[in-house]
Parts: sequence; structure tokens; C-alpha cells
Amino acid sequence: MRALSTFLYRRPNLYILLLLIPPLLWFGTVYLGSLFTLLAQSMYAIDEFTAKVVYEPTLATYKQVVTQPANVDIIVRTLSMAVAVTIACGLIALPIANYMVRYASPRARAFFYVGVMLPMWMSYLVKVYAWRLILAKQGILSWLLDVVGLGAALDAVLRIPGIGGPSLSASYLGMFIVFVYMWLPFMILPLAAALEKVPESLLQASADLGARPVQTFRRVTLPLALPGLAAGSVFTFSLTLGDYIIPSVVGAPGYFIGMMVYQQQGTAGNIPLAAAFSVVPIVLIMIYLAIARRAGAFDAL
Amino acid sequence: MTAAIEFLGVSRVYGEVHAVDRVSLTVQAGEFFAMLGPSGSGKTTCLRLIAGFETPDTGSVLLNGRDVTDDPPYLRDVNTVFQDYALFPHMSVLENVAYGPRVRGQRKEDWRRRAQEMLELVQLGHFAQRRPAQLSGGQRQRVSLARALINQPRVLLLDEPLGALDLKLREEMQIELKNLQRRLGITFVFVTHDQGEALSMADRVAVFNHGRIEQLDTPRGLYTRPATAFVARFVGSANVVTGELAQRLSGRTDPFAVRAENIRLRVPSAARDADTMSCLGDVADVQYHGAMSRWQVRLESGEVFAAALADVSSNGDFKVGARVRLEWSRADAVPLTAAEPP
Repeated sequence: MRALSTFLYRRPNLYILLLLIPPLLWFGTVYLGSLFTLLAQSMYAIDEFTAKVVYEPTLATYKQVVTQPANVDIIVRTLSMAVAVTIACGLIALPIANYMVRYASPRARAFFYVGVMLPMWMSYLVKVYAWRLILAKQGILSWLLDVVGLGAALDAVLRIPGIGGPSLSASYLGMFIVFVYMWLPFMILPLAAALEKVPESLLQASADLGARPVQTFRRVTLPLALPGLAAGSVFTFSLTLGDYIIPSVVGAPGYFIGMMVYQQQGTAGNIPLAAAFSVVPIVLIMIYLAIARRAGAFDAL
Repeated sequence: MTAAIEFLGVSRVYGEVHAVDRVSLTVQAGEFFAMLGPSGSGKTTCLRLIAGFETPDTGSVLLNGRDVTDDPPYLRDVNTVFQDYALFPHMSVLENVAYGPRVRGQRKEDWRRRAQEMLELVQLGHFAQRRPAQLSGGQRQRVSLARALINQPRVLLLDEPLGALDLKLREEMQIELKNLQRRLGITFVFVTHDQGEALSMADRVAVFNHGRIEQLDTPRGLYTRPATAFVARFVGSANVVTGELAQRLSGRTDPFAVRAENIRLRVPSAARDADTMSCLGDVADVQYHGAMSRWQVRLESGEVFAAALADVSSNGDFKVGARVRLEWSRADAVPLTAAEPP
């Protein structure tokens, strides 16, 4: 035993290799393997008459995804929702994270962290169905708005084409609210982590050099929070792109990418189309990361 | 000459702790003023009260005769060199230096030129496009200095700016800072826990302890006439004699201090000079420091005296454990204020 320890201690590379083999095997087969299987499936197409998969490499399925108006609609709808949810999460999370890190007392900070994470410990389905009830036509939210005399304002908002609908629970606005609620912790936590790394003395130096609070925020806090904002937005963006439960429980009847994947690989039995649709979020996130990188979001890392 | 900084009965309390306790002081314009003290003595809080990062609980702070007690930092005509330099990591060295003029809305060609000039002043002209992370500690220190001085403040605050530098660089920067201050004629307020630094650079030194100023004097005054036992020990570590021993040596119980370098070592049988105090002890330890050596001598009553001797041979070659006679002239016994603050 001791001889083996000494042998490995003198050969750190071999030691590290031995440690890494199990996770590498797992990662390689289960993770990358299934990803490549998925990519391979998307390169096939289904025979229109027999509904059987034809195992010959073709780009026909991709062509179907990006040219058929119904499919393009689904992509645009999902992408718009993901962008809107990401922006809203960023705008809401920034002041909360900044308050948590910078101003809250240690007790209040602990309370905030628990408050942010508590919803993540509850069942996802329970939360979605709870929101459906909250947003329903006779739900507590519309009742509350009626009580404070804003019922007419809600009706006016719901009449806006595109985001409105018969009730909040059957509109894109309602779906948007649920998405923002669901993914907000994933934005707040990385943002708080990034802000926590900014030393107090930098903010003092900024004020000392003559910057008003707004200038300090724009020139020091925000640029240094950008890596956290980027990390958080990757979560909110990709989680929205891939989700299929929220769009099927809350919101207007239009399809989202995740629902399409679920339906095509299940009831419709069109595995190639499901696979091709699965590739869409991957591509979109890669494009998003490239844009974020170019914008300098990772420079301060 | 107007006062650059005035503290009128300023206190800052954190919970139960009086970080700064009813401090009043005046710093003259153009002065190199040092705040000296151990950590937690209130010197840094005083600096932060001048900069505006802290607001006093009682009392007021005046800058150039104007009450700025409630002014935020960005409205005060002072700039700070931070202990950790506080350089903005996402900006180049040039942008860091130009930060002040930029937030004040100066035009790009103006702030670029001025920042470049400031970098030349601190001999970092070639480093303008680097990131702070690519600089050494000494270079960051200079960038931080240039960034503070570009605003042409009337008062420059320095919070232990040399603490993170190695000894040689620290000595170079001490000379450089002193020259810079002389050349620019700006008031420097320098916080340090290093008494050597305070003595060698400052025109006047305030010695802090427990949130109060124990003594405010010139370096020479502090060294030769320490007012309290704390100052005597903290500045140049003098031997402080109190109580029974003081009674036996001087005939009175009032405490007094004797500098280590004013003590001579004799063989016990040597004849006593007139007008001296003396006592017997055993050599406990000797440390050789090149130009001089430091001796620890344990008296019969248990106290340990430190003696610094320039020339060992003239004092006899004593071994550890040898019995010696400590001797100093009465004029070198500096009386101390008996009352030590609680």
C-alpha cells in the first residue's frame, strides 16, 4: 500500500489520470455520446408515407425546421420569450443582488439568500400550477388589482395584441411572469457572487475621485458585475429556450421549442425533427455566448 | 496660513467601541502630517472621516475652513491613496489615472493628455496601456498616486500606502513621496503604524491610542520628549520606569522614560559618574545589528531594560549572564504624564 502511494506520489500525471478516468468515461459516453447521437439523429429524415426513419444522411429535416413558416414561428416565439425573460431577470436581479451584497446587514443578507433559494427547493410543477391559479381570470391577482382599482388597467394590458389574451393565465404576459419568477434565482446568485468580489474600496475610490453614485454604478459596479450578469443570463436564456412545461401549463396556445421536441419524439414519432429542434437552442446559446464574449462580458474574469 | 483640516471634537462609535473619541486637531496647509498608532487606534477612521467615507457621530470636520461634515466624498476637495491601491481592474492604467477628469466631464483629448503627464510624473509613461494586474506592487502604488494627484486636491490622504512594499522599495518611496510633497506643496496626511516612517517623513505626527491623540508634536519632539508611557514605548521603544523602581532611581514615584541608546553598560565595580542614575542587572540577551547591538538586561527586581550600544568594546565585552551596571545621565530621564487614558 505504502509502496503504491510512493509510486503514485512520484508520478503526479499518472495519479491525476487515474483519478480522472471514471468521470471522463461518464462524461464521454453518457453526456457527449448522447449529444452526438442526437446530432446524428437530426441528420436523418422521416419518410412521409411510411412514417419510418430513413437512415441516410440528409439536411432535409433542418431545411424543414428553418423554412416551414410554422416552425420558424416557434423558433422566433421561443427566442423572443427567452430574450425578454433574460432582460427582465437582469433588471430585477441587479438591484436585489446589489442590495444583498452591499447594504444588507449580515442577518438580512442570510434572509435574502434563503429567500432567493427557498423556491428552488420546491417542486417545479407545484409552482407552475400555483401560478396558473394565481394568474387565472378569477385568480387572486386579478382580484387584488380589482380591489385597488387597477382592474381596468389589467383589461387594457390584456387587450394588447401579441402579449395579451382572455386572462393572464392564458396570455404570453402571464407566461413571461412565470418564466421570470422561475429563473430569477439563477440570475441573482451569480450576480451576487460577482458583486461580492468587488472590493468596497473600489467604490470608495470612485466617489473619492469625484464620481456621483450614478457614475460609480455605471463605470465601476456594472462593468465588474458583467461576468455575473453573463453567467446568469446564460442560465435564464437557456432554461427558457429549453422549457416545455411552463408553456404547456400557462399562457397562450402557441408552441415553444421544448413542446415541439416533446411532441415530435413522443406522439408524432418524428425523432429526426425532434432532434433537429433540440439543436436549435444549442446553436442559439452558442451565438449568444459569442455575442457576450465580443461585448467584453468575460474580460473582467 | 489657513488650516487645511480641522477636527472639532469628532467622535465615531461602532456599537460599544469608540473608534475615534472626541478628537480635535488642526492640520496646516502644505504640511506633511502623519497619523501614527497601532491597528485599531483610530488613525484610519480619522482618515476616512476626512475623505468622507465615514460620518462623525458628534463633532465636525472642516476642510479649508468650510464645514464638510455632511458632504459625501465626491464633493470634497481631497483625494485618497488606498492601502490596497483600489485600482479599477477593468480599466487600463491610463483610464485609471484619467478617472477623476472623466467623471467631471473633461474632453477626451484633455484627459488623455493630462493622464499621460501624470504617468510621466510618476515615471510610468510606458505603462499607460497595461492593466493594473500586469504591474508590480510599487508600480500600482505610483498609479494610485497619479490617479489621486491628477485632480489637484488641496489635501492628499495616504492610508498605509507603503505597507505592502518590500523594505528597499519602501525606503525609495519614502524619499520620493517626501520630494513630491515638497514640490507640489499639497497637504499630505499619512496614516502608518510604522514609527520610523512617521518620524522620517512627517513635519508633525499625531500618535493615536484607543481613539484618542496621545501626543501631537514634531518627530524630534515626540522622540526626545514623549509625553506618555505609550508614546515612549511606541515611538522608538524607550524603557519606561514606574512605581517603586522610579522611586529608587530618581527619588520620586513619577514615571519617566529612558531611550535605549542613552544607556551605558559598566562593570558593577566601576565608579559612578556624577548626576547619573544607575542600577544593577544581568545580561539576558545580546543581538548584533551591525552599526550597533541591542542588549536586554534583567534587573534584580525583574524588569527588563533595553540598551542600544554603538560601540561594544568601550562598554566592555559582556557575556550573556554577566552582571552589569546600567547607567544614564539624569538629563536623559524624560518625565511622563502619569495619567494614562483608560
